[in-house]
Amino acid sequence: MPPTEDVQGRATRPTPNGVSREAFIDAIIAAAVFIGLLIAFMSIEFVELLFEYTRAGEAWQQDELIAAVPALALVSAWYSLRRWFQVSRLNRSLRQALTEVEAAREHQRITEARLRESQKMEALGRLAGALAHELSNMLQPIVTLSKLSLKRDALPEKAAEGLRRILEAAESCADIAHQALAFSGGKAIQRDPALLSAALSDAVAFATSALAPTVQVHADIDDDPGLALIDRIELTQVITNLLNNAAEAMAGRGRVNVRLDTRVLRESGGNPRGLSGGRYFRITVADDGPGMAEETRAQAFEPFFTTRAAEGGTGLGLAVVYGIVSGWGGSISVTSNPGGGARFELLVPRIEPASAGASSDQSDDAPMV
Amino acid sequence: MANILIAEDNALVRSALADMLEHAGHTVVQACDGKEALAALEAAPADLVVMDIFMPVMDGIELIGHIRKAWPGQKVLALSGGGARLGADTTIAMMSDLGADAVMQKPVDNDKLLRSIDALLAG
Repeated sequence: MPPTEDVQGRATRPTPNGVSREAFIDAIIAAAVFIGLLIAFMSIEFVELLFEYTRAGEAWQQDELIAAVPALALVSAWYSLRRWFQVSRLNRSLRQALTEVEAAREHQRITEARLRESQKMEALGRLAGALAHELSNMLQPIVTLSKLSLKRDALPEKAAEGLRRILEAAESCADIAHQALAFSGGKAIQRDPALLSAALSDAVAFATSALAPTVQVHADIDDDPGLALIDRIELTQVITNLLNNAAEAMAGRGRVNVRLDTRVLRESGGNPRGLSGGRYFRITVADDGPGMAEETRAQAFEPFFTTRAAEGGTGLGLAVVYGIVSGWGGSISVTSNPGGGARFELLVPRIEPASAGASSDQSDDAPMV
Repeated sequence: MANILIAEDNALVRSALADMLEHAGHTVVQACDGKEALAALEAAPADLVVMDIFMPVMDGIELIGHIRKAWPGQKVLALSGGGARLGADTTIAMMSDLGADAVMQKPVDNDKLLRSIDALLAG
């Protein structure tokens, strides 16, 4: 069996049953001493033979026998204790090694899951982009010819009304195609550095104004000089979608908390989001609705996945949010438990204003994640 | 009114655009790919080329390259369906870099398209 290294880097050669050779030999010696003692005290002939051989027939004195027993017990106890310490030390090393193996397996599992998720979303993005392309193409003659026909003279009113409805439907289809393009990252957007805290406050105010008064939105957004490469209209779209999603999940009654703070991610491989290391804005949108089951949570950002198909949900709202945040170079995730609400967490790369310099690095104490 | 060449592989889209432009008073020549469009331009100049981007035989990306070499002053308006294979961002940026005078996203509204065409022809 090849030698291996224990957790401290020492070479060990494990026996077939996994115990180190040293402990194994000690155990054999202790067992031999024990068996020898047992035979000696249970076999008078053996004791007598030993007397004759060692003392030429002289009788053992009682005090010699009394002294021999504790001496042998001490030897036996020494081996037992030594072995116990060795096995304990080995157990500690094994436990530590097991913990490290478990941690490595967990890290590998998370990495593989993230890769699968990334590949799935990329494939869905390509599919959505291709569908949007074909849909947009075929909508062109519908829109063009309907509008052209509406301009012709002597069109019966019923035919004109029919064409107007066709145009309405085509516009809805075009809207879906544009949303699918936004998810696929194919929408042309000019993104500029923006003061994120101010842009977020505006977006929350705008989105809240369209909600029922029974939905309470609490914003915890402090002024922050940090910038982010975003589009303000996209940010408004993201917040509107998330707040509408929360309001619908809470059946139009409940509380939503929107919070902005800063997080620092370790370098690649050290964080579970697949983002490079650095400083990020964290936008949290948490509701106190019924939450969602794990299978719903796992598909929440997939295009055309909806739990509200009967109410006319297209399943594109969160997919669009995913596409937009990915376009910013950030990430979005959701945690939820049935009955425990849903919590969306967005990470957006942070750009420090050039004029602020090192002295304004106010969030050095931002937690690492 | 102007002579407009439409390069578009989808017959439904091409004929609808042609109907609309003719209704607006323009003269339209149709081509179903980039190669046919080049042949049409060699046969007779056009005031404006309205082109699709993804076409068989010769796509809009190659077509605009040929146009810029042979007819540097040719007005070109590209219509993008969303750039399925490249993404709309990439497609629009690329067409602009290659020299398209305007890039519009399908489905484009008749009035918006006509206003853009008028602006290009006046420019």
